[in-house]
Amino acid sequence: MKEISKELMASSLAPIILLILRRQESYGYEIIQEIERLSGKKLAVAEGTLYPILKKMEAKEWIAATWKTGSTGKERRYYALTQKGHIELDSQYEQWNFLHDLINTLWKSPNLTYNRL
Amino acid sequence: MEKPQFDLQQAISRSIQDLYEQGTITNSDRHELQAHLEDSAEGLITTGLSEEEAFLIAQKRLGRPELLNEEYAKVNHNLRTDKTWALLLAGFAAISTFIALISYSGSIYYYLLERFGLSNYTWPVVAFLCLQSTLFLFIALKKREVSNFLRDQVEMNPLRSIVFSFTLLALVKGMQIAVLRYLPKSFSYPASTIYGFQGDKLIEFATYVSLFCLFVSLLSIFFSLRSPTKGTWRAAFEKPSIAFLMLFGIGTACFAASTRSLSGLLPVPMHFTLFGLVYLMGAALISYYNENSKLHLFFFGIFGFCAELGVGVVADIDRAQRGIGQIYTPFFILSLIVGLMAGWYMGNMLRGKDAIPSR
Repeated sequence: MKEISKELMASSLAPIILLILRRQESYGYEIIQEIERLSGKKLAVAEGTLYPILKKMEAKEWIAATWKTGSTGKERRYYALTQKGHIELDSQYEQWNFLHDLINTLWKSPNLTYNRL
Repeated sequence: MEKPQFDLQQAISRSIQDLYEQGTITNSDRHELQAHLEDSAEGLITTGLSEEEAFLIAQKRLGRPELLNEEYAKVNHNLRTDKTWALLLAGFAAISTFIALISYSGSIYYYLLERFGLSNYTWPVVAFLCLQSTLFLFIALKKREVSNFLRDQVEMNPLRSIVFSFTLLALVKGMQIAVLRYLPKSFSYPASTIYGFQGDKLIEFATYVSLFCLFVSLLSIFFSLRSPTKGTWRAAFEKPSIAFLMLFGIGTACFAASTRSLSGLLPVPMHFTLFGLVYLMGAALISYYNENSKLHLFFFGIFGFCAELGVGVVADIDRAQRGIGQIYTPFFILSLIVGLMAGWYMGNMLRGKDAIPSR
């Protein structure tokens, strides 16, 4: 199991959720299962804290929620990506890539001074 | 002894309900978290775990309640404010409705007793009043459900709750005006409130019991509504303040004194016994929840003791002057002290045996 700091986890959960919802609409428990599956069970999310994050994203209109009855007959709150969510995801993806590249460059060239980067 | 069967559904509902009662999650959040716990537990059961094990793991994975409350409070920050203004308005309407209802239903009640001779039908009237008292006590026992229902209504649609409560107030006020217009003046408010029960003693006592039960029921709902976790017997009686004990003592003294209305119907020793029994129940409740309750019982009984001593001696002197010559005060005081001691003993005996429901 990967230990990821609370702060890093908090900032990276939003794009992860948006990416999962880009594939298809889903509900809380399924999102957590999907994160676990895709990370090879290496990433653990404090399950209950996912819902306040979903609510924040809903308030920002990145996602929309509806109560639906699933195939098992159980009612669940399904979340779907909105148009605004798509734009936000593109922006966050770009920002993550930029940071990822920067961190990689610095990691690979520890002796470079800042003005030669 | 056989271990009681674990009820997964009940355990999940209880766990989410406890979280909901902290006031940071909405009704929709509650259902969502409940569905999550159910899914999570079901998933763990399929791996071969027992229902109880699955529940404990699912609950742990969901996160600590304090953490969930903290996170939800950040996103539901307007929940408490919304509730407060709506509850204040709806509460104002409810209290006004209650006062109007008590006022005119009391007038009608006394009028029926006096003018239509309901006193001639003692047992049906007493039976009705007992049924009413039972209903009030049932509501007091179900206070969590009642207060949760009321909270849900206000939370889901504050405006509808306010419109409904004020419409009810208008209807009751209208009824009050109409009733008081047709009733003779002597039965209209506030004259009706000092009606002296010329008729039946049993009906009088049953009325006091019913009013006492109504008071207990309303008080339970009020405290439960403010904070459902605090609206419990345990929360009220465990480590009570001196002010609470004195107030409880005054209420008990009033209720115990109302047993005097049965004088003439019951033999005199029975009359003292009933008086002492009321104190016994109050003292048992305090001692059940507090190990060292002697000082608590002192504050609880002091008002009744002083009232009996003051009012009782005056009444005894009055009777002596009128030549009736009966002295009751020492017996009432003795009943009070014996009631307190017996209640202390009973409370200590019952402690730890789950004899009184903690809710």
